[in-house]
Amino acid sequence: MNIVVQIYMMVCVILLVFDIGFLIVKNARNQRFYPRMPRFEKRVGEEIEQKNTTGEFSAGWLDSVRERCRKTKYLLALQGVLEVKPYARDWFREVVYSLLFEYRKKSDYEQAYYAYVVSALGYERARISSYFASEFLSFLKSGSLYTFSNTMAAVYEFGDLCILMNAIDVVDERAGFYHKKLFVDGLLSARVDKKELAAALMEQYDRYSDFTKECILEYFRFAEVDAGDFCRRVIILEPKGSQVRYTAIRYFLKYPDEKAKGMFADMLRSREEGGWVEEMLAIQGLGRWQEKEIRDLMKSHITSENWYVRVNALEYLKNSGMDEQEIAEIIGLEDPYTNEALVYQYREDPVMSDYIGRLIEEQKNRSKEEEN
Amino acid sequence: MAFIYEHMEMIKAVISFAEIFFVVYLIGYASFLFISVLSGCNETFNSMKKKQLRNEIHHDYFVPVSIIVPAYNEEVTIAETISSLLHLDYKSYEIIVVNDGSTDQTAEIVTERYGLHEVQRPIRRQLACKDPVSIYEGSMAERVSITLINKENGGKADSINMGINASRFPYFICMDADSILQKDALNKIVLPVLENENVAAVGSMVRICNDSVFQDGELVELRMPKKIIPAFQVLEYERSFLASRIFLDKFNANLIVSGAFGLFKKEAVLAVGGYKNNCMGEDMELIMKLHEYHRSNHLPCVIKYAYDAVCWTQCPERLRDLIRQRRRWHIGLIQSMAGHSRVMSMGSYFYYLFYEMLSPIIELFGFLCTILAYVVGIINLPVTVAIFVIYAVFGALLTVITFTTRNFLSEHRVKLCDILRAFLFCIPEVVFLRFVMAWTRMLAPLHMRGKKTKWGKIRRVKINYDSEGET
Repeated sequence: MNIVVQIYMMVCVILLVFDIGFLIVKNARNQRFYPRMPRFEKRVGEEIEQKNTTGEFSAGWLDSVRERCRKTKYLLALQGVLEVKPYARDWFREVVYSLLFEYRKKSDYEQAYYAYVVSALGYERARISSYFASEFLSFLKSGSLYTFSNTMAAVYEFGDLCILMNAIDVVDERAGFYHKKLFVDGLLSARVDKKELAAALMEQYDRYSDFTKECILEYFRFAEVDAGDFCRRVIILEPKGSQVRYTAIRYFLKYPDEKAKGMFADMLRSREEGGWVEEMLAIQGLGRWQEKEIRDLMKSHITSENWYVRVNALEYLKNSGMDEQEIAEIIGLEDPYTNEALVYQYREDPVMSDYIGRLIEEQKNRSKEEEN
Repeated sequence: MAFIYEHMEMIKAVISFAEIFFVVYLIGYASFLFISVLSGCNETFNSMKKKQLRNEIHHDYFVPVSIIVPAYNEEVTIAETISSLLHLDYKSYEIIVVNDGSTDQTAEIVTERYGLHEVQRPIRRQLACKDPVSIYEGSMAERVSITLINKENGGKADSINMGINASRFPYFICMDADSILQKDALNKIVLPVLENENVAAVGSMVRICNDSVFQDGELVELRMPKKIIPAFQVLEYERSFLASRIFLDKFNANLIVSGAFGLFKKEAVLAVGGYKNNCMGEDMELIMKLHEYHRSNHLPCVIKYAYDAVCWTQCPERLRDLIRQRRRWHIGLIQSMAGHSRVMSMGSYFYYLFYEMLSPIIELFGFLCTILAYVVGIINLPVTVAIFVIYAVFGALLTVITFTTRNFLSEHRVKLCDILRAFLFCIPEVVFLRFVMAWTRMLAPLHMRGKKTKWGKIRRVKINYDSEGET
């Protein structure tokens, strides 16, 4: 039995020693990244000042920086100084570029950091070399989401349409973003001519996956691109019920035109089974037109079996100045679901809310009397 | 006694086997504890490295979330909880307080303090729940909308289901009415959702805030609780949340997302029918249901653990409250484990089965064996004491390692005297608290009468919330 206890004791002691040892080693190894490099930082600061005044760095110093920055802790220190003195970024650009192959061999964390440093170099006045860019895009194939994300951030900063389109191809191929908004936000922040980007995206559109197509259409909507005809073509070509089609329809909610009005009215008239999303979008899209024909169409949808269609149709009528008589007519339909949506629409208006409540109550009483 | 002497040889053989079983059992536990502490600490170090090396997604996208706060007789803490929610560093969220037929001033405090007005609003009943009595709405600085739903009493699960029905956004957060979220907690807890489309739920780090000081929804001074029972629980929570959950997370094997603060994909929760009403551990039951549903239908499902999304909660200060709470948790564990045997294909199921659910019985069996061995005179006292001491010291040291690592790496650090107290408490925590908890859990099945979910009756203490105009 003593042997069993000894085994147990030994296992526990080994585990404990290993645990404590591991934590000490881990912390020590982390010093590779975390220590401040005050002497190096100070020297970088001094050299930047010197370059500012004399126009030159000390002889051979830039080469030594290149050599040192092969280690991540020096790159961290250099980036720290450049964040404080952004005007000096141009002077270190080539140094950072030259480290690409070195960092491509490093861990995911370090690759992501390198991509971040490249993205933070500032490209307002500098053009990126196509050779560097093509090599840099290989980071997009990394398994690390952070490397991917930081690389895309750099691509948006480069301000080069060709590189951006190549990057979009990679994003499309590997479905790099899980959320459309992340991709669309990136495209919106890209420092390229929006018209040129839109034209290039329209040209390549058919090659892309549905996810990328949705992102592109969202981009058109947010970037205020004139893509009315393009979106109409998408609506015609895409099957009903597809998310891409819905995204194209949403474009016209923001930029409605006469052609869109006809399209929305047709959507409402068609009354296809399961077509509630399109009906809802059409009602929202028709919000700026107040003709009688449209109002009648809306009235015919207040009894829809779908909550969103009902409530949106009633919102249209409310916004177009529905009077008490019309409200009474709606309640006269004796549809409890329509009444529910009506109550919801006027929940913020105590006067109308009371009026509607009273009418519904009276109607209920009448029904009871009739039953009796 | 005559029976014992007649069967002495057989009893000795049984006890020998039992001894070997217990040593294997204890080594298994020690190894799990060791690996999980190692993994947790390693992960925490890595998170620092990630932050330093800008391994984060840069975005301005805030996944809209609905925060559901079920409340039953929470007049002491509800206002502070909502105030802390209003100070969150997040752009797109709504707060839904579901008052589950409180008999105190919970509803009045919320409506008056936040200027809510009654509205007629239909609620789509996608999940079964008790009827609403009245609904109030309002918003703070036109930024965050607050909804208060007063409903018939139906239990915590029923209240959360009502909150889900009333929520507008595709993700919801479920939290306790006596908890405070750290200012950046929402930002942190939604990150896994941005990183992986298959995430169905995200758990968080729950930490104890008894005696700590808050200002504008943010912790300003972390203190080790003065009372001994909460102090023990601090050590226990740190060990559990920093170690085992991070370790299990690596294998997508977490079966618990704490009810104190968890994020859920509404679509996934609706698919499994929401929270179960007649279950004590509704949070664990939901996670098991999510695993089971997705496995059965061959759908990807990831349950993540965001250990840097921190929720500060109050733990019971009295032993009797603690016992009541743990009894409830253990009954919930039994109900969840028994109701979802399909999840058995997950390795972690066996961890929960042997080291959580059955551990009190195994420990009782061990205790009985020790007594029997003593009666038949085959016990080796020094050996027994040695095993017990090793067990206690090993557990205590790992607890201290977890506590100090967390303290070393955290932005909120306790004072030196609190660290010394942690050192002082670590052995009593392993010996005393674990013993009491084992006893409580062993007796828990006796309290399983009545199937309805009940709210835990724990005496609430006002949170040390020092805010402008709110003290």
